[in-house]
Amino acid sequence: MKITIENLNKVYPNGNHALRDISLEINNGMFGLLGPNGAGKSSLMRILVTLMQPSSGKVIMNGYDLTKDREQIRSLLGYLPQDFRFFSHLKTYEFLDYAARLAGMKDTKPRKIAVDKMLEEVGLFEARDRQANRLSGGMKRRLGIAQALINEPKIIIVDEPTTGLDPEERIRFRNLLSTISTQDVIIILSTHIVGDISSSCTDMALLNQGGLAFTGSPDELVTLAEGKVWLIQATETEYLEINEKYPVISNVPTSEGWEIQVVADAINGYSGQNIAPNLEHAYVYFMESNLNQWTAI
Amino acid sequence: MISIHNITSIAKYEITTLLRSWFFRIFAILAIVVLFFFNMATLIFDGGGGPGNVNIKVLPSIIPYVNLLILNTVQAIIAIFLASDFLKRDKKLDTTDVIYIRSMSNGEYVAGKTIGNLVVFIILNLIILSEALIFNMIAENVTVNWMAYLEYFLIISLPTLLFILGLSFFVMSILRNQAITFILLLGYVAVTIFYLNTKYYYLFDYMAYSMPLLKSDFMGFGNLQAIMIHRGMYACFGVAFIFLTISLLKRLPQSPFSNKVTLFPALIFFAVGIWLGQKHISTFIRNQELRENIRTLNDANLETPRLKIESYQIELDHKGNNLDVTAKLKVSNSHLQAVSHFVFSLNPGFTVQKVSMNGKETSVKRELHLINFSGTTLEPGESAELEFTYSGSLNEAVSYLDVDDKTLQKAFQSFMFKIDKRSGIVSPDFVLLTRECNWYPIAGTSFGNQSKQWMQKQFSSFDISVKTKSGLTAISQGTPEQKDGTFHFTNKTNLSQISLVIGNYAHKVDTIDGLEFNLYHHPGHDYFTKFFEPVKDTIPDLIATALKDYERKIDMYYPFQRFTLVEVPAQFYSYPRTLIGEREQVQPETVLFPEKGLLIQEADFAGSLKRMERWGSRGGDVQTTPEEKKIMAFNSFLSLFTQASARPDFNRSQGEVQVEEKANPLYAFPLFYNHAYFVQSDHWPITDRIFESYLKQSSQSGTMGFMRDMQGMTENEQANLALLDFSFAELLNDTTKAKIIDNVILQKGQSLFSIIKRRTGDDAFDDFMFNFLKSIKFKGTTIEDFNSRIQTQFGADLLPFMDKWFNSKNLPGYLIGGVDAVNVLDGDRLKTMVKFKITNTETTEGIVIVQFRLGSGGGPGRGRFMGGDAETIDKLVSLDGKQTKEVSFLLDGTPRGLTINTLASRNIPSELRIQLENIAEDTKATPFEGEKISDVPVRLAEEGEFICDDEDSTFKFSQTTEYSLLQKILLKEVQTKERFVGFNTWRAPRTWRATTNSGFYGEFIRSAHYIRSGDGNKKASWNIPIKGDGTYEVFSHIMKAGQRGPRRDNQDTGGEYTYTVYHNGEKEDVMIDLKTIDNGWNSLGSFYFSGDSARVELGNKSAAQVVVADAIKLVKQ
Repeated sequence: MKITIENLNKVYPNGNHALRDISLEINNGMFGLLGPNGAGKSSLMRILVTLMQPSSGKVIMNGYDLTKDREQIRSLLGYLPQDFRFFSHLKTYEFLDYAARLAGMKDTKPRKIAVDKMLEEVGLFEARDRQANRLSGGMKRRLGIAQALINEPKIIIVDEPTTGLDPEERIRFRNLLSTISTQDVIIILSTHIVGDISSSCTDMALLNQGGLAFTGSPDELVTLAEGKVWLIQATETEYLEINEKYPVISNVPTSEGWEIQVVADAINGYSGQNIAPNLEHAYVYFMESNLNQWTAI
Repeated sequence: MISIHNITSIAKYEITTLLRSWFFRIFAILAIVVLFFFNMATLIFDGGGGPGNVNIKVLPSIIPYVNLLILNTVQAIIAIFLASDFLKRDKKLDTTDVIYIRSMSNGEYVAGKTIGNLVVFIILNLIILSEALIFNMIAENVTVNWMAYLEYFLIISLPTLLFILGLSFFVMSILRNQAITFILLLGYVAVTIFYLNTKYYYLFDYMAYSMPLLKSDFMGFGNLQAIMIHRGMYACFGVAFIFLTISLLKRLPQSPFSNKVTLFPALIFFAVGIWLGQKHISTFIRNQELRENIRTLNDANLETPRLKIESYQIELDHKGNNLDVTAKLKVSNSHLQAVSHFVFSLNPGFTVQKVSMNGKETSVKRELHLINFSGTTLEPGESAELEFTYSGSLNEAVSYLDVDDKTLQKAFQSFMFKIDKRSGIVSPDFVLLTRECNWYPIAGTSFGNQSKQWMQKQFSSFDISVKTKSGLTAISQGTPEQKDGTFHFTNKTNLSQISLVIGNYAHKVDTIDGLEFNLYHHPGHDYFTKFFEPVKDTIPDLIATALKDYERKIDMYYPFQRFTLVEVPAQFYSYPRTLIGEREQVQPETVLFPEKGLLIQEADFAGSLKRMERWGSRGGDVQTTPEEKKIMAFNSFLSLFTQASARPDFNRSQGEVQVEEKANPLYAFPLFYNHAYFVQSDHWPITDRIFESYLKQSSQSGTMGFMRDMQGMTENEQANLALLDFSFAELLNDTTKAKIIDNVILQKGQSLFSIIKRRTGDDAFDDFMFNFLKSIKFKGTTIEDFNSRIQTQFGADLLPFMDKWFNSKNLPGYLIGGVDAVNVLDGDRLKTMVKFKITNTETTEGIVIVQFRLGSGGGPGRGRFMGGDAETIDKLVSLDGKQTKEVSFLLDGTPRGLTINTLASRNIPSELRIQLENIAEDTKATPFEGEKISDVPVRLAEEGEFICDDEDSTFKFSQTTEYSLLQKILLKEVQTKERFVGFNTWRAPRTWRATTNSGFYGEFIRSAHYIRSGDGNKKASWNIPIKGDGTYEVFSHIMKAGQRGPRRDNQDTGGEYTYTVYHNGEKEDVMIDLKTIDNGWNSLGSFYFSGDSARVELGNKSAAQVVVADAIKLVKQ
């Protein structure tokens, strides 16, 4: 499986330039799409799942052209949109059966088995006869995941999948995706939660204001923030000053004042020490320094 | 490749979703419940007319028909909502995205959704039809027509659903707003139901709501082709819209082209739909054009002389939808000049194959319906043999050319189902032909705007043989003879026309008093034999008695040897005409009776019995035996043929009950007059109707009082009002006055014959008429002949009066005064002498009928089935123009009252009812009966009396325009333009409206204004001109309670009127207690007035329901 995106642009009729010249190559495994709200993640995903036409550019998925071969591409897809709350009057298993049918499972028996299995996997078997609309937020999310994964799609696109899930569910979900990602599939996961990516993605892209800010592995992104993350013991007054000057990632109150983590090239005038960056630090550093300049250009 | 799997998957879950939608459930349950009660009420419950509604039960196919009609109205609304909901859901539901990204085409998606919607409605239809079927099976006296359940589903529901679903999808795709779509489409539904419904033969009637779909047991739908085209059109449009929806679906298509691809089928279905619609309209327009062309052609042949047809010999072969006919005619030239160009009319649906004259084939010119003969000359008195060979079917468009389009397009409906209107039928299993469809050659032209030749009757000898397929019976006039599958009919007397019916019939025959009675009915429609079994021996007597009674009533004998009652499809329809009196249901010696008595209450024998039982038990009637009740039911059925008017039409429009007087199409009078006699006049074509109307009047019942109360004026009075503004000649040509034309003819006829009668005397004229008719029986004559006989016998020349009578706009107007009744001794007998003075103030002469009502009359026990009239004595008083007479009558009994019927006059009400109460004995009075001409006309006001009536220009009332728009739409009264409204206390007008009654004051028009009582702000005021300052006593004219019958008047409950008298710069309120008033003038007291007029006001504040403002009189003291 391979997805090649070339010079992809999306301009909405209202003039909003949602995607600017995106070129990307996505290979098997889990691919993280990170970016703040409004960065263009959803636009990109809606284009990839054939819900929206790009304004220009080209997308090739497994050799098929996105604008021409929708039939083939759609049969590869599994999709979980960002909002997944309102169902028509269907029961849990009915909704999943409906999705399974449309995903190409024609034979009743295997479909029934697959649906039941999927319901078990996402922990909804007990709720199979409940109205989908009446499920809790987390259960709806799980149903969404189930329908995206039914009939083993080759390209799975999930938009903000972990919002609304409790930590345990989140972990289970990540593990589920990780397991699948070992096969010949592409999973594109869009999120603004850095943790989702750091724990599972082999590759990632960083979107900001429609543009591609970074592409590579999460480790590469972390490397960029090497030596830029500081741990500072600050008094109350200092804390307020630092907060004015630098992005503060975390603050922990101590007996003397605060222990804070700051992302910056240098922290002149304050005593602090470099610590090893994680993806979250890297993301903040990247957004704060590079992108500000980048957008200024 | 279209994936059935995808379509069924989508459909399956669409069905699941829709069945769970509350909107659908509520409406479906509502429909089921409503139809449950509907079926309960119409099929099971005893609604007073036996179990269920006879109009629905009479033909079993009506049950699924009306059920689906009702359901269709409901489902059209649900369908709009649900169909628009699917696109709304798609837009709103984020979960739709995960469906949209699946590999399926937009076509599959929309198809699945559509099928889902359709299936849900089909389920609903099945439920409703099963419900109807269960009721159908448990209802009494009705069978199940299984096919009808399927047929009506396919005709009514399916195309409607396809169309409304498609349209809703489409509109929603364009507007993308469910609320707007819903409102827009509901508006469309309303417009099609209430406005466009019958236009262009129901072109816009997508719900088949107004389309006639009744199925006859004789011939099925009869209009199946029109139905298929119409329903097919909507189905095609529906499918086209569905395809368009696919193109418009907001989802990226599977392949870059597929959105455009579906435009092609959309276009094809649109094209087919338009083609069908075009076919539908073109038939309609072609027919309209044909009618217009035929009328024009007839007028172009205005001067073409008409031959006399002595005899017809017709051979007809009925083969499927085709008739092969050979008609041999013996014709003669009855004119004084030689005739070299003459025409015959024949239905243009027939192709003329051969025409020969005197045995030699001759070439004729066929022009629309006309067959033109030219080049052959017939000398006066010369006769010739013509033979026409033609075949084909009927074009019904050429029937009723004198009937306007609006009337033609008006739906023939009962309750809620609609019936097709057929003037003639040719189908494989059933044939119905009357002269109106011109199925045999008729001499001369048919109707033209100028041409009046068409209504001139010729009496010819008819001989007809009919061949048809086995199992079918032919019915026509004459002595029947059946040999080798050929039906042959010969006639001893000449006839004006013949009819032919071919169908599957059972035949019953009996000879009563030398008259042969035939009954032909559908083999499955014998619902009467068992019912009348207990009284079957009495029935011949009942028929004989009814016939004799009727003969006595109209003073004419039944002219034929035979009477045949033929059951015909419910679709057979006739229109009342202006220029000819008969209806097509009544043919010589034959009455064509609607299938199973559909829409005829008198034919619902079981229902009649139930009604009697109900009324009987209410009135504590225990004596009437079941047999007697059946006899009454039969008599009630017989009375159907002797009543001129049918049950009036009650329409509830905008909350107000509208009553329309309606003629009875089955009235047998044409058997007695129209098919046996004819008085022709080229100059006054209406002459025959005048004769007819004169002979018929004795059988016509008086005006129904309750109708007058509802409508404000009788149709006779409306006719009089019309005659003041238009001449008779003008009214005959005014189609907008069609409703009252019969009344105009009656009124004018009465006035014409009164002119003759004044010269001849009553009895002498009756004898003359009797002999005159006898001499022209089955021959006909001219008005000139009638006139010369009158001249010979009575020395009176009628013709000079005719023109004035025909063209004048003048009517007599009568003032009546000095009514007095006393008991006097005439010899040794006490008699009642009634005197009054009557003035005809106009220059036109006139006649009034004075009718005295004697004895107790009326009262309980005189129900519908009892018959009989109160004893009345009629006297005629004729008045020349500007003449006054004092008349006096001596009566043996004590009259309760008298009615002066002013016939054609300016008087409204035209019948003045005068109560005669407390008649005192006056021994000194000289008994006298007779009339004296007086020089002193009746005066309404004496010297020193000043009267202001509500008809006077100085009578004013406050005009209010406080109606909201809604009220204007909903309240009929606001829009009513009628000059006089009915008198209705429980729904009295909110503004002052004029109404008439004999009890009110007035010169010719006895009217008063009345209003619903209220806060007193709506005032009526009289400005009475006075002469000289001084003291005047003020009187108000008030009609006393009881004048109208106790139930309707509000004065019983008491109440008061408050008058304000303005006198000499002051005003004073005078209260009149309605309980203590006198009938007529009531004093309000004496006041000093100065100036040249006095003012009195009446406000609408009262405890009574209504306030009536009539007239004020001032008497100088």
